[in-house]
Amino acid sequence: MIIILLLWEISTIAFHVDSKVLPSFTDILSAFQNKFIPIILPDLLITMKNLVLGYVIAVPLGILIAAICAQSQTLVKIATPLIIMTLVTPVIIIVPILIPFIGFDAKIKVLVVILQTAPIIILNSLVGFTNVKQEKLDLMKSYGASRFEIFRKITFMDALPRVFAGLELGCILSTIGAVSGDIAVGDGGIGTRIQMAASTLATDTVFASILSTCLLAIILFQVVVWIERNVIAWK
Amino acid sequence: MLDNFFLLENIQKSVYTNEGKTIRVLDQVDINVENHEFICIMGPSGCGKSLLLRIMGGIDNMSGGKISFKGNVYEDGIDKQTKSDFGYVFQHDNLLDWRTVYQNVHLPLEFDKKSNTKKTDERERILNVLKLVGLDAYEKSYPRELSGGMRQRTAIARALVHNPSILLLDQPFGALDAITRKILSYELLKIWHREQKTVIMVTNNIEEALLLSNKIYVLSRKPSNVTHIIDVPFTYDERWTNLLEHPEYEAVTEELTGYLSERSEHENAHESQDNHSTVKSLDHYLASLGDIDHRVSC
Repeated sequence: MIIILLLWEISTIAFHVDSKVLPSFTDILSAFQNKFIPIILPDLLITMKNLVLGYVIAVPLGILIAAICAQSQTLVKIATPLIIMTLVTPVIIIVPILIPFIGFDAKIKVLVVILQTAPIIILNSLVGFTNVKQEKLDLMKSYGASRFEIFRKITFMDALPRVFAGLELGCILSTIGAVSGDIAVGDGGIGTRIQMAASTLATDTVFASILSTCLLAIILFQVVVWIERNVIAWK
Repeated sequence: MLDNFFLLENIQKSVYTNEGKTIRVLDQVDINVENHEFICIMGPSGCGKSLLLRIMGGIDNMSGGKISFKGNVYEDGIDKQTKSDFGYVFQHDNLLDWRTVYQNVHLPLEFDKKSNTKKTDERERILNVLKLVGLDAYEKSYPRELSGGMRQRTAIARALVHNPSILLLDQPFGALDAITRKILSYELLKIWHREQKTVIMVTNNIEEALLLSNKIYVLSRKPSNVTHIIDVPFTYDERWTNLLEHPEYEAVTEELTGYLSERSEHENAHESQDNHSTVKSLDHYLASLGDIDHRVSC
């Protein structure tokens, strides 16, 4: 990592690269230092708000949909290709379809995050919910447990590591969703900021914004990992 | 009433294969279990002995027949309330990884709705059964921290905690090494004696069956029936001495081996048509080892 940064730094100086094309790493750092609080942070906060709100809605929604689908084999067969379809469709291209329904509201950005995040959570949870060992289900049958009890005490707990894998992937995708929402809808947010800076050739701001977005994504990801480590104490 | 403690009459079971065929696994099985008895069920592999145990415990439905238990008749298998009078131990310990030993043993109490046990009483009961299997120091451990033997002990404690009248054991020591298997067998013998439970166990191991049970039911190949019932003549105290020196041990072993290998030879004869030489040489090899038990039990 350090070597790459050094190479970057040296080559931008050695080859006299225009800072509008590729600023040196130190330029980016100074842009980060100077512009983070006055320019980047307000936009980053808008994006973060949409991101966190969308993610917090997508998590229970995704798990709930997966739990409902897992109740029947036919439902799993119908749902899986649909989920994969939503997963591979870039949400950014759905935005034009959604705008007539919702308008240029901040809600649409939250919706984009949900659409980007929920499918991977559904898919991972579904795999977890449908791959519980038969023996464990037999154990519950020997107690005469109800469907709900079986789900709560066995299926959900057994699938929890897989669910968390989905939550981690979802966390990464939610950042992508939030930024692409900014770009597609406009109206503030770090995506809009990057677009504006790029159109005025403020390349250092572009890079500093990208850097802040990455940092935000890493921090959120680590939060999810931290929660996982505390919840799954038995591993 | 007394001789109707746990009675299975005409139990039938058919299963459906993926190709849409129906296979009759249990033909007409009759088993009569008296209170405080230790029963073993043996038979060739694939004969449906585990399935029979699952039907007893209400995990699988039966296709026909009836079960009488403590004076009640169940035509569609044991009902939900009665299930709490059974404790089931699976071949693999089947512990829940996300629960500690204590929480695993707590599981059956979460379904035992008729008895509103207080939290403190629950704790006492759990610690008592853990003490019984020698794991009271491990209540806070997770299953991954335990050895195979300790895991199976936990599973036995879990099957005992709600104080069931009948313990159903499906090859409970099958996945353990020989020494642990022996130790746990003796512990099970002690628990059965002390707790005055009725135990029904499926096993492949002749030695184990003779050490533990009062009565051995031998099933035929599927569609299975009970072909023989053997009364095991040893008293409880004799079982703690070297059974090999017991005057009747050899005779009983031979009788049981004979019953089990009847079918096994029949099976060999069947196979030898297309694979004559291999079976013959394998037979010779086993005979030279003088190891008839292996051929029968696997």
